Amino acid sequence: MEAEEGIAVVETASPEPSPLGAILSTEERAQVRDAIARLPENYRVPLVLRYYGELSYDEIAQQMGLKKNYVAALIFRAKQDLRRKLSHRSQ
Amino acid sequence: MECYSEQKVSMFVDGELEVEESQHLRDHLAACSHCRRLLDALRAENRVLSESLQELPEHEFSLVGPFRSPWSIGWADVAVMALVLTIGSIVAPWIDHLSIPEALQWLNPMSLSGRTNLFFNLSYYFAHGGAAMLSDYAAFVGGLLLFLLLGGGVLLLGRRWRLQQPGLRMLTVLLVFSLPGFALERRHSEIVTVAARETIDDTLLATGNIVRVEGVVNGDLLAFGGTVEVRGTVKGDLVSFAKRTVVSGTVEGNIYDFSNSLDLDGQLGHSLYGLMQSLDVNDRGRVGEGVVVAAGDISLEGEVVRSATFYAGNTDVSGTVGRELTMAGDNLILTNTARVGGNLSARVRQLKNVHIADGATITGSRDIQLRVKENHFTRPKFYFYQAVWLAAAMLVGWLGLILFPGFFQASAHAVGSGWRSFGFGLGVLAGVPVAAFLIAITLVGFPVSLMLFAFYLTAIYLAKIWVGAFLGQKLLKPTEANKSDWLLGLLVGLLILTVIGFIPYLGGLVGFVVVCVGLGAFSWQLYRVSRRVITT
Repeated sequence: MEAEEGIAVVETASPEPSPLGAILSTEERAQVRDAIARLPENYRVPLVLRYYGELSYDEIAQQMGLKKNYVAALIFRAKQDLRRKLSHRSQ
Repeated sequence: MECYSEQKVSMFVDGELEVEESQHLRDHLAACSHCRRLLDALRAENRVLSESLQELPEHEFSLVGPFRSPWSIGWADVAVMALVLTIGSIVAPWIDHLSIPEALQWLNPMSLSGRTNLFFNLSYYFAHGGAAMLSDYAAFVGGLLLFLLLGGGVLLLGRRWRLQQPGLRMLTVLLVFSLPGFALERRHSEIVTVAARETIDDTLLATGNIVRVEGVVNGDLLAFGGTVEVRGTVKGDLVSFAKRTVVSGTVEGNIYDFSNSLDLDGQLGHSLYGLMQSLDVNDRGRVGEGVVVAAGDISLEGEVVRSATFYAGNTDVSGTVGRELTMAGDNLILTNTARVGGNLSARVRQLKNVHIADGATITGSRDIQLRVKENHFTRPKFYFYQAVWLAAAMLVGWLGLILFPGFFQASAHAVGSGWRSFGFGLGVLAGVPVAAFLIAITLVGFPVSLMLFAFYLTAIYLAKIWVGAFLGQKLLKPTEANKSDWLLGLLVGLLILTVIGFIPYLGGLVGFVVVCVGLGAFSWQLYRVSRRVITT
């Protein structure tokens, strides 16, 4: 549901794709977002805070009440999980 | 030179390595093509992530999930509490009309007649304890808060401890529930005596080798002791845990007795509920309402005004039961002087163990049945109760998921650790009653102990839900981690557990393991949350 909404919004809301945006098609971006949405909460939250909210690990740690090292591990595992999810999809 | 781990390189890309370590890594990169390729790949990945998330519309910020800042005021909690109280007070009279077996009534937290429940009796204690109690309470809470502020302030300055929501909630709940405890008068010594001319206005909590009431207790009497004697008057209920309990005076409320033996020579205003080795209602003894007792030996020489229900090895009746006499056990004897105002129904193992003297008067019908092991699978009621249980468990699961989403799911997840949960759960299962008892006998902790015990029973109930949810998740392996899938998993898991529970012997064993594992997972999760609360 979130993915469909995402695609619809993306198509209307990105008038000027950046050079890298051109490399990554609209659909692929939606796929990534969809995969992120399906991550478990404890992975998803730090990942989104980092790459959408652009917070530092320290800030994320503070907001979630965790240690910085743990946040680093969560983000790392989130990426691994994400890769697995996306590679499953492309097969 | 050894390569850096992917996580380290990833942190480097995110600009999160310490200066010194960054420099080392840079030096390494200059020499290592493998790590350079990794670096490029990770950079590209970060760009993809930022790029994809850049177009996240504002309303999709829900991706971030329900994390709140640690100090936000839990208005939702207040609202939920108010809602529970409102619904509770609306539903309470209705529940009172349900024919819950009277023996269980006092456990029902919404019962209006049950006088030992804590939650809805707050108002009662307020009304009766008055301002004196409130000032006691305020002084205690004030002191505690001061202590917390002083202690916590120092620690907060050092930013070493952070008391976050779970801890705060727990504290609030404990304080609220400890409130009724302040209507208690506590006495503890070798011999506790309420003298003949003495009157105690509050509920009396007495522990001692001998607890003797010759005067008047206007509230309830909660007694723990070797011998508990009521020669005077208890205007409320008598709750007794003793080797021997003797009531020769008057108890105007109910008696809840968990003694080795109970002798009732005096007057009881309402009903008697108990679990004991022997019960004697002597010829001077009178129970104003009914009796529900499980005991080894029961002898009834006095009068029970309403109905009597006995689960007993031996039952001798030579007195009067105003209405029905229901009995299940081994031997039943009704002597010539026995009178039963209603029906007599008995379930015994052998008919020859029932002796009803010719002179005994039974107004209603006689229904003597042999106790044969009935197969409950053939009774429709059985399936009805199972369905009700399942529906209730689903409701609880749903509520838990809505109120504490992360915690509930994490607890179910922690079940997966198997042996750790089991060992932990076994320890908690055995340890908490001991701890509750130890807290209770320190007297100050009596309400806390009750609270702990209630919490313990709740956790045992929830254990099955967490294990069920875990089982369902394992079996269904939902791709989307949303709530309806979680609930579906819960339903499947609970169904499996329920069916397994019917297998003789194995079912019991599995049930025990389930409780241990679920309890362990919950405790583990609680421990983790509290560790997160006390971050160093």
